[in-house]
Amino acid sequence: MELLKVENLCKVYGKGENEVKAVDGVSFSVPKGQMVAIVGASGSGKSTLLHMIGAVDRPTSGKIYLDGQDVFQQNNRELAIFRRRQVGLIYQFYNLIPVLTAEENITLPLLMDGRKPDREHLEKILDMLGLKERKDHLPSQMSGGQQQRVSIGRAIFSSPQVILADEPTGNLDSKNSAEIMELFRRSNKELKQTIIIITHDENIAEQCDRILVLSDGKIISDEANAAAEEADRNEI
Amino acid sequence: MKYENLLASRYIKAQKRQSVFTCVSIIAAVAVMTMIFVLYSVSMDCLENTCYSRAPYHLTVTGLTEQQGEAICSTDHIKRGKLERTPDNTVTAYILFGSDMGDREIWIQKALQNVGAEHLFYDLPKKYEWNNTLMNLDGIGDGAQLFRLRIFCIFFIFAILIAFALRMIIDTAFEVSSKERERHYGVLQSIGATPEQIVRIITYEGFRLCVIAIPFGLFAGICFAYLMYHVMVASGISELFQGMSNAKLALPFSVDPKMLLVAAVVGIVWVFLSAYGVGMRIIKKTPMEAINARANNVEKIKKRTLSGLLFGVSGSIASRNARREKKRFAITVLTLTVSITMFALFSSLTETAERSINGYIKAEVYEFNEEAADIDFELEIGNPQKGISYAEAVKAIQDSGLFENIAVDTFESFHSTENKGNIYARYVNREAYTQLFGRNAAVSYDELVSTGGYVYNINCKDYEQNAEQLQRGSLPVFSICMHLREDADTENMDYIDLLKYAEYEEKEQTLNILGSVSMKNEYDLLIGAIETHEKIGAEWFGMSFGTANAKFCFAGSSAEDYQYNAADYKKAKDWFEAHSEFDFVRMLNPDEPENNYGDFYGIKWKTHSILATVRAGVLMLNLLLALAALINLLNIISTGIANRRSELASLQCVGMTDRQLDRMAIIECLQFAGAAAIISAVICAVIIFGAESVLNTIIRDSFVDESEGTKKMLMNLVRIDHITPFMRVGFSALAAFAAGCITSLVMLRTQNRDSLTDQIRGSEMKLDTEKSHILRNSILAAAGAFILAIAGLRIYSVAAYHRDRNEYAKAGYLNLVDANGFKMNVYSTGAEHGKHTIVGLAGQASYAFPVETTKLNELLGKENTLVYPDCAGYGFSGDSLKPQTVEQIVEDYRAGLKNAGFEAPYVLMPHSIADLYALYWSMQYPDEVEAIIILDGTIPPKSELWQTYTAEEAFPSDEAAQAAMHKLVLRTWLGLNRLFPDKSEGGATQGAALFTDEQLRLSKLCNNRFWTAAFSSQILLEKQEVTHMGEILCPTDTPKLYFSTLYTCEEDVRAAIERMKADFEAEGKEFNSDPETAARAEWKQVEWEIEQAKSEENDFAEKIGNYRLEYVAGDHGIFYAQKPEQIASSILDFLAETTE
Repeated sequence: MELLKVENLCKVYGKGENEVKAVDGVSFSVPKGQMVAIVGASGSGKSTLLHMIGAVDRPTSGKIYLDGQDVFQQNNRELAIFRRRQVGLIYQFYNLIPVLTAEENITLPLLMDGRKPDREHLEKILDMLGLKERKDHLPSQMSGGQQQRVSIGRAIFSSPQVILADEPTGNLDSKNSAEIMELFRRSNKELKQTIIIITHDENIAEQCDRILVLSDGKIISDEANAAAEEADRNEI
Repeated sequence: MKYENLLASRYIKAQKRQSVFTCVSIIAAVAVMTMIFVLYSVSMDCLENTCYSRAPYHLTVTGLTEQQGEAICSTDHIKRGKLERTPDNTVTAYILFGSDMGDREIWIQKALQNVGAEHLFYDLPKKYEWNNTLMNLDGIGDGAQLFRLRIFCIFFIFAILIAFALRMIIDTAFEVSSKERERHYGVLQSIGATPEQIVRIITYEGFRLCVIAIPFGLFAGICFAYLMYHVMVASGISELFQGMSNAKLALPFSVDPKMLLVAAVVGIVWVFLSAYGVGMRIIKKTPMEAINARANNVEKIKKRTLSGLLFGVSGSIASRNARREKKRFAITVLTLTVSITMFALFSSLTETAERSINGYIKAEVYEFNEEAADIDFELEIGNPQKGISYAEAVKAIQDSGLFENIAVDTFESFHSTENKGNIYARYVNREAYTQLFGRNAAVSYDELVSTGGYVYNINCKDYEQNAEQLQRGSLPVFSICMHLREDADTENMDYIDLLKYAEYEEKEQTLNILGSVSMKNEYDLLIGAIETHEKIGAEWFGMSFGTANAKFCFAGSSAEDYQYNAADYKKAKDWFEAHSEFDFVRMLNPDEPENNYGDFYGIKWKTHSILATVRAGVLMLNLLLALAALINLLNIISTGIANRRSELASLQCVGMTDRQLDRMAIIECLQFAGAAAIISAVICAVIIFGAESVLNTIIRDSFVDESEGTKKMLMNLVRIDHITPFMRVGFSALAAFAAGCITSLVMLRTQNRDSLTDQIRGSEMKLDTEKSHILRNSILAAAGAFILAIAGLRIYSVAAYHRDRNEYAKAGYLNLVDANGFKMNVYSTGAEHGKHTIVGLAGQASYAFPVETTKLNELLGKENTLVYPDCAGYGFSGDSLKPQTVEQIVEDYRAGLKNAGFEAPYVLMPHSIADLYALYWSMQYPDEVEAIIILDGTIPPKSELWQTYTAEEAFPSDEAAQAAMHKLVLRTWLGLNRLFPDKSEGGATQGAALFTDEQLRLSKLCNNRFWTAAFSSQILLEKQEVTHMGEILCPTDTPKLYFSTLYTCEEDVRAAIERMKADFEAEGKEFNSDPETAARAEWKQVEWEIEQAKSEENDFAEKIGNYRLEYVAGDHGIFYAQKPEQIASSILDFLAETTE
């Protein structure tokens, strides 16, 4: 069943001579529970594509459907709520709010909804992320790895439909990277979380179910990842 | 807590510097707003009080009978009416309205009709007069509402303009702080914050800052306004317009809470608008644009710039930075420009206004005597009717030593026979002649006097025409002579009346011209000698009742340097008042009786004061605006540097030195300041030259008929100085530049304390999760300080009071007993168990009555007991909050006397207003009162023909009176009257010569606690109580002895003046009047009033029954100390006769 459908998406920057087509007629769809890796050279439009799926940027043309709903038909307010509940964005440079503690950063989407966070769920997530002792610390008091884990926590806390991660391990050492990927995998396998990851790293791409390759704003390859399926089957 | 609130408060704490700046901006803006509002209401109050104190009535009607007067005072819409008897046995009504009566003329016509005095409506000269100014201020009468509205509108428009200017500052502060957090807002939006939530975060932040900023702003605004008010009062305006010692009472500084509320609301609205506007701008971007700060990216750059050429790479980068933040650059330059331009222009405009006003006064007031611009006073002098000539008057002026440059003018106009042109003759005295011409006169003064001839002015208009005749040495003219009719009784008529009885005749004369002199004057033609004129005048006019104008200056003053000297001015005015026998003060203009002389000094001084106040006000406004602009500038510069932290660090990583960085920062400041300076200069130039040419055209077109000289003079008046404004622009731009540079350098140094890498990576936001209670602590500290101050003052006041009381006790005057709810001091002296118990009741504000009556007590005390109870709030009795009605005071006295062990019956000895208590006492408790000895008591009015000092009359409304009283009581309660003594709270200075030093000391002690709550209650209730007593008084058999200090003859007046002179001299003050002449004049004034008073006394006698009257020559307030022997012996005889 299709969770995400992208139809002929285009994003153009600049005008006339300076025109740059960051995304040029991209179409694909993602079923629920799939972990997709998007790879490509720098400047191939990966981040732009991801941002549009996350509704933090507007396409020049084309449509995106999440769970059957046309994302950009919504007005600004609905879009904001969409971002809050339906998707979870993880950035390469964490983008935490520096004046809030780790716990507050994680529960921020819920606070925006005006709901009280479920403490049990929060404890579970903090445990899973290994942030129990850091929950009252500010971002400036944490290492890069810890900050990235906070931002992951923020993304997964409200169990959105799809998680979008833009080079989540780009700024981390190998140990942290492995841990983070493990988190994603567990989330995907145990909680059936749909995840789309942009990465440069082959190792990471190898761990995903499907690999999309972008170049100059177009998809040049879209293959199921045989190796990963193999590994899954082995686990089972 | 809602997350928006959470974020808002975290941001405030994290960005302390920014929050402080925003806070300060709000404070500054609100302060200016508050200051303007407060000053407006204070000015309106002062204006109202000034008009009120000069003439506290809206309407005066003369020529009424007593019944008509009383009837008209009870017409509707009238709040209060007062009647006054005039020498011709009519009554003048002074009417104060409480509500609008609509069309004034219709109202007065109907009102006069109703009382049967309609003829007064049609009589000429007018028998009724409206006080327009007061009516306008009070909003009564047709057109008055419009006046008030007009003033309010002007003020409102001005306030709105300032409000807009100030709003920019708050706007910028918000703009700047939000720019820093754009990325965060982008992140928030990407997580799912709705646009409203973003806006709410910013708005909540704003409101939180308001909580601190607005109270501070209001407070600062009130302080500034008070400063301005002080300048106004200190500049002497109050004395000029009031001429009375309680100027402070009548020019109150009070803050209308409504105005404060409006200012606070405006502040909140501003903050909301700014926050909202910023929020709306932010949410227009998509989250990604915000995160990447895309709008901050540069689209175009100029490869070569002026700065780059001049200053190298530093300059190049600097100018590109400026282009990057176009909007911010524009706002900063704009606020700087506004501030600089206003500073430069306002000051120049005030100077021009000053010059114009002075020039105008010179031209208008001095009319055609240009050199007379050097004079300070001009009056009519001399009144041949009273047998005093102007020569005598002039001599008196000269002899006083207070004046110099005395010129006496009498203007007469003649027609020359041939050409029917007007010729003026001007007569001067010897001194003026020397002043005018020095040794260069062609003809000496003696020659003029001996021949009766004239000297001719060769600079006058008609010289050419008359030159021929002059060659022959004489000038044929026509003069208009006035003769009095045979039947004219000139005894009591003044100039205006006499004119009605004069007959006119045209006479041909020939005037002898002895020579010519040169005077800059187009009009004066002939100069003659004053001594001659008197002779000729008598000859020509038969009964000479022409008048002469004298013009003169203060001794030692000069016109151009405005050394305004209040003391000399007062001396001069006092001298005129004291020498009324020379009839200086006459009706020049019957419509303005108070403008009895041309008081040029006063006008100059008033103008000077007003201009000084305006200048001070403008300066203050400028300072505040400059402050606001400076805050803005510093905010923007420091934030700009903080935001580019990583950039600047990168530059240093590449190898830029500190000095080069500094240079870059300095050049940026130069760009701001330079741009502002250039734009300001251009605006100033446009305004100055534009205004000048417009004014010149106007003058040229509308004054075509005037002579070239006049036109040139007017054009000179409106010329604005060309150099100074530009100098001011330069100076202030330089100051802004310096401030910006210093800030930049400080910021750079502070930032560079961190290592370069940290700077590149880190953000400026540092947050302690520990809760900081700065706000709470500072409020507590301020409140604590305030409470401490109040407590400290109160403790001081109480301690000082107790110290005084101990002194009083040591001297043997203290004896506290219980009265109704307070401790009453009951002092007693004389015989232990005397024949009679004489109870002395103090008059109003007579706190030291027992001390002052020492002599009297000695004489009476041989056989009688003297008791002096002090009522609540008086002397060293306790204070009381109960309303001090007659009943209350009497009950208090009774309770106190009983508790002190003094049993009835008593002989009551009240002074002044206390006679009401005594009479009431004897009416209520006839068995307790053996006899009453009234020391010049108050006579309750049956109609309001006697003027009593009442609070009501000194203040425009009951609320104003109560407010003023509360302030005075609070002042005393806190001991401020001891720290900052006021002359009007001094207590008895009259008759200082009568008492020993010890007595004076004790008297002062009693008066140290002047304004008590009980005393102020007495004052506020006085009118009501006196009226009430007047109604309920009825005759009793109790024997009464009444001592009256009424003048019975001229000798009494003379004695009073001699006493005043003695007092003055005892204090080392000069007394300039001659008692003899002054007494003569005064007696003439008051004679008819005394008759009236005597009849009042008789009425009173009938009213209270069994009454004996005796006259004592003394002053009302202290005569019992001036004539104790007379009083004592009369009392003893009286008591012997009536009670034993």
